[in-house]
Amino acid sequence: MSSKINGQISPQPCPHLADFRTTSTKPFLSLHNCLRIKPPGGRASLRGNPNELPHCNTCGVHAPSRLYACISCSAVSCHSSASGAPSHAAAHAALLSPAHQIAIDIDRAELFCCACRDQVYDRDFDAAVVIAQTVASTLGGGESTVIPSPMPHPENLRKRRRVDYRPVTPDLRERALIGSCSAPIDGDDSFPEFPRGLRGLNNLGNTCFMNSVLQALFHTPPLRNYFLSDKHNRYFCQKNSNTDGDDSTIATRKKSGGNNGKTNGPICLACDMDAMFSAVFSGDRLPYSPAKFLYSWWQHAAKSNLASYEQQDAHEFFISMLDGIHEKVDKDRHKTHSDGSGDCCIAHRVFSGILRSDVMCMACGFTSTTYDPCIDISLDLEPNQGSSTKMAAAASSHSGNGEADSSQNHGISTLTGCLDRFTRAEKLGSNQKFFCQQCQVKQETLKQMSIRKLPLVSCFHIKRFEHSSTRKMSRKVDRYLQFPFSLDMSPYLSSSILRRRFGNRIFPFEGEEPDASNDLCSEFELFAVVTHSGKLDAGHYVTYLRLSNQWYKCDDSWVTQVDENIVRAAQGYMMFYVQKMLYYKATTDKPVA
Amino acid sequence: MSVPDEEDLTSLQSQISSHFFCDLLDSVIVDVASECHRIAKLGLDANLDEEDEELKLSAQARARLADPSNSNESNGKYVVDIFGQTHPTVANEIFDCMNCNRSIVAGKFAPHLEKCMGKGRKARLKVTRSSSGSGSQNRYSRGSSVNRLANGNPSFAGNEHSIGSSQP
Repeated sequence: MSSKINGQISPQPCPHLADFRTTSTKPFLSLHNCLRIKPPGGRASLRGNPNELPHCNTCGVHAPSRLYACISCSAVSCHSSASGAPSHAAAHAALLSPAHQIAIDIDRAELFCCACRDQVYDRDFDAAVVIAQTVASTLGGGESTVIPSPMPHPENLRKRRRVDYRPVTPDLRERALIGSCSAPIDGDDSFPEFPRGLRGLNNLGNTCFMNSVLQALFHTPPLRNYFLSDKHNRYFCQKNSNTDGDDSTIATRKKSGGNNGKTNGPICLACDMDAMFSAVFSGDRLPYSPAKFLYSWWQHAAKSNLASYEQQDAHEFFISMLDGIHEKVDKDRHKTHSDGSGDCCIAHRVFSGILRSDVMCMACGFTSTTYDPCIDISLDLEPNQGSSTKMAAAASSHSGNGEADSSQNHGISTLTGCLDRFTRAEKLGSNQKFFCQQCQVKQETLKQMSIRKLPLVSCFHIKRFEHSSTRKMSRKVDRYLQFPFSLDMSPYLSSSILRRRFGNRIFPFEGEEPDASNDLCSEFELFAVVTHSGKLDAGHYVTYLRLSNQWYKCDDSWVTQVDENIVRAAQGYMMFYVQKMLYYKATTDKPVA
Repeated sequence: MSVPDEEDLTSLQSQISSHFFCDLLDSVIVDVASECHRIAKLGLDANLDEEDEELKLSAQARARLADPSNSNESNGKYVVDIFGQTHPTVANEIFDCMNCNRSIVAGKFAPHLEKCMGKGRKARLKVTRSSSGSGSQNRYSRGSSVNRLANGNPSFAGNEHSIGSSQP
């Protein structure tokens, strides 16, 4: 069988290749001197001399579709079986068997076993190709570093081990503590059959944009755990702020105007969140009015001109309130978001990921890489020519019932399709030339995004609203978008994107670790969907929540149970996914995973 | 050898170009075959089945929704929520405004707060030509604003993403 390393199968060599590896004295790695890399895509080919025109030793043909170089003696032969007679490459192998059975497709840098008549794969050979490709894409062509600076220090990436779900049983000391310092609130809940934290939110006047996002946040596992674990205690926080007596406190008091008897000090959105979590999880099922939070958020948002009675955009609100939580904490601890580590505040700890952007020179292949933190990913919803390329491959490779379904699905936009488009290499226009450090002139470039570090919770925002000030018009895109309940993000990671760029070679790319934790880290489960219905200027936001594998619809004060098909068919605007290992049923049963 | 005449020339040209084309086509086909072979052998397409399944479920869900014979409650009016409660269109909980201490009905809190805090655009909106001159009438007849593009960062080639709008 084959072994799985770095999330991919490392196939066992065929007997001829295995034989060659054990008996040959020529290491594969030395081949990288003969590998020519064509910019910008990194396509590798084998040439003894850069300018040679390879031809078949037997028949002298220059350009048939495949030329193979024997790995033992470098003899080049062609391989066309049109005439029915064995190809020259096969003949060479048969003649000088057993040592000359492995050959290299010189235009594709792929190993070919003439005895098995199949393409074969070898880790060391692939490593040689990748080394050559890497050298070609870095400055000077001589450095051996794979990734140029700046790069987040590996420690920041917080390697995540698989955490087994276990129900908590307090020990004697903890039980004593619980008994003396707390009181159960079970008695207050007249609906124990419904999960805690399920509670309607009153619409305070076109505030469904806020309610919908809040509902999703109340059930964002790491965020919920943070506040319910008292990690931000609003009483302590306010007490500390009041005793500070610094300028910010005075300034805020002056700004609020009116009677400040009720405002206890500076605005802290995290404190207001803490209050809301307490209220929503209290067991009281009457709809809650997030008035204080609205008041606090509006003061924060006033700086960016978002505060108005008119309908707001839920996504803008989301970004704004996370920023508000960060800002308050940032002032206290002077940590910025710039490294994407999430050390600055809980908002970033939960939602922040790191995006990698590669800009490749079309002329020489030199690649410039930058990393930026991101809170969410905004995706374009364009007319989709069907499903992703992977689906297209599936349509051709799967026989039988697969075909009917794939043809039916052409024309549907999918979340994975949007992510494919987000991470595909895109040629920048000729009016956007970048200065290439290697060529020392402005060149046309290829740009490609990928995800360097996945956040604990991924929020995908679909750009359904377009506002063009130049054309003085706005429109809403109503097109349906398919989104999965389980999402594997590994194809969009930098390691996968890089691997694909370099021809899917067997090689640990971009900080990959040779264990299974990577696979688990990239599996996500959907837990909340914010939908928008109606027109651009007269619409309504509703949130669907997935709790204990049951879907609930949160429409302001109305909380109802819905079948999952309703959610699948809904018009998703923001989709919230949490890492699978953090997603467990809030019962004593086994985890979902 | 004599110079080939017109007919021979064109047929020769078309033979050669046909030959080149076939070569190119072969090359492209082998490229794709080689890549797909590698992807399959290395197990890089392992998720295809799950993706197929999700797409199928999604299609079924939409079909079921479109079928009028199915009684679905998604768009209908609510009778009771899961807690057996009903709620009026305008939330009727009453509490005190944090700014001015007046008692406000929940469903009207936001417009009140905007006036109360004196910061809404509406509160300072100048009377336009088309309005009847009354400030309040202008406010409600104008309807709601357009929703803005989520982030206003200009981008290259349309590949926009939120780079965390918090200013570092």
